[in-house]
Amino acid sequence: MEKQLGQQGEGFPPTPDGRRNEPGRRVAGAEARSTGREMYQNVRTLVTVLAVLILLFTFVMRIIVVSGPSMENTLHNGDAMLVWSLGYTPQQGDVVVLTKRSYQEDSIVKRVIATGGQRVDIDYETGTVYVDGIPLEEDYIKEPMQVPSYGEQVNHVIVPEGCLFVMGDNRNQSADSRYLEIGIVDERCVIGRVVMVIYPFSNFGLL
Amino acid sequence: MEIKRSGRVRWLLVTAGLAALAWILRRWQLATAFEGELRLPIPMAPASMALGCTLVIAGAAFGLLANIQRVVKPPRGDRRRDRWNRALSAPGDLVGLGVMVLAAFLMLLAAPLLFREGWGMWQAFRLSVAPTGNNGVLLMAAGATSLAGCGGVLAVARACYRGEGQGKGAIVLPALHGCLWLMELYRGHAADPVLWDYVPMLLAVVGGMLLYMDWGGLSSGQPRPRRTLWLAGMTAVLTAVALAGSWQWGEGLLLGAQLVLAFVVLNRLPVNLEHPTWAARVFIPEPEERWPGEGPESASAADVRQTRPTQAEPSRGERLDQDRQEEASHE
Repeated sequence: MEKQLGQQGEGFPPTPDGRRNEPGRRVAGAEARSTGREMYQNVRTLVTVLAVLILLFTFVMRIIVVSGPSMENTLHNGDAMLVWSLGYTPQQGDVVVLTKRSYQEDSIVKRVIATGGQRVDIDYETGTVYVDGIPLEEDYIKEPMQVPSYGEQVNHVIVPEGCLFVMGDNRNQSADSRYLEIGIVDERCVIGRVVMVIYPFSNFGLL
Repeated sequence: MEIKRSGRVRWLLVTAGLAALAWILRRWQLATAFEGELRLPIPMAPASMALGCTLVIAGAAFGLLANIQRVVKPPRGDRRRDRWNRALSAPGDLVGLGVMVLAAFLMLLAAPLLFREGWGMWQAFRLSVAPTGNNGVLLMAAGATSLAGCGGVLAVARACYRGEGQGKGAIVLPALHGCLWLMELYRGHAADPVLWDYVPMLLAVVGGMLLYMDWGGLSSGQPRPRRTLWLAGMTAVLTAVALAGSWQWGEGLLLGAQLVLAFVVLNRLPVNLEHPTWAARVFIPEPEERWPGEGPESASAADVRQTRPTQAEPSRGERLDQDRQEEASHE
């Protein structure tokens, strides 16, 4: 059939640039070409966007969903939060996402109470946390602190350099640095700082 | 003698050397740069610094090699996309064919392994009381698309071996498979605070995906031959780094496949870029596409074969005019 077309093509004069002039065949070829090209461009866009997103979410920031009530009322179960990783050094008061693999494989979200070199004292009678002897004004906690279900484990400690003492804002339902299995956390376990809640939209906003 | 004149040996030697060095450094890093029960990275560990520097140097070295790579543009074919379509062809090259079939076979072997692993994760996820984490679906999908990738590589191997123009776009299938593999990798490590645990693998997969896309671009009218070479070199080095770490069998086979394919590109593309006679030979129109009345061995066809490679490249203005005419004729 192709050869027959070629013979029939004698009826079409060549174009000035020396190309064969067969209208039907050219249109069909052009359609196939443009379809193939479009498909390639679509796949290329998909691959490029995906690669960029994955690299962005690896090195720069991440989107992590909260699981559990330990950070209420600051963060709620199911909140999707934007976590900044690039060049981040933990500071006192920051809400951070970290992974303590000896405790669990999934990451946890807590607030940094004290950093390396600081002393932490917890007084359950008054529900007060002291850092370097100064009581913290914690307007972010959900309710007055009581002795947790796992008992008094880590109450008085000097945080080693390069480590953090972290606690959940929902003090009475939070496994955190007070709990021996978690304890003092190495700064290298921190994935990043929670910058904002992006979903649900009712909780949308900077932290 | 052709090998000596081409940049092929340079590319192969530099890539193999850097890949071997990166592999050794990664092994050293795994042995010395992590501490404690949690295997947290030691800040400024010499092995990590050396590996990082090697990767940067590799990027620069491949950039330099790509910059000095001689590229003789193939003559313009009857169709715009045909110009670079056969830039990776190696008609009659049985070794090249065998190596590509090996890569396809590795992808084929990886498919059931990935699927089985994903299925196990799915079962564990389904039976767990509080299902969280990875459910294995992406891994099963990656296993399934690995079969498509295998088919794509086989189609391209066949086209390259026969010197055909059709079927080379199938190389994007492994790239699509790479998308799922990449998502699965990220998902599996999203909670890992130690970047060195998984970033080498992530970069290797990204490099492979981009390499396949550039390879496909040669057949889709969007050629970037120098960048393709650069990506092939980086893919080989990053894959070597990933292979030096820990991996599941399915992942290891896929990494092996992309390492092989990267070297296929490095082995063939520099030669084909440098030898316009070779490139021109394959642009002789197919018999059914010849001019009416032009015989298969007519003098005019022979003239085309001999004269095209030595024709002067049209100026930029002429090229633009030709493209405009071509696009107008398509419309």
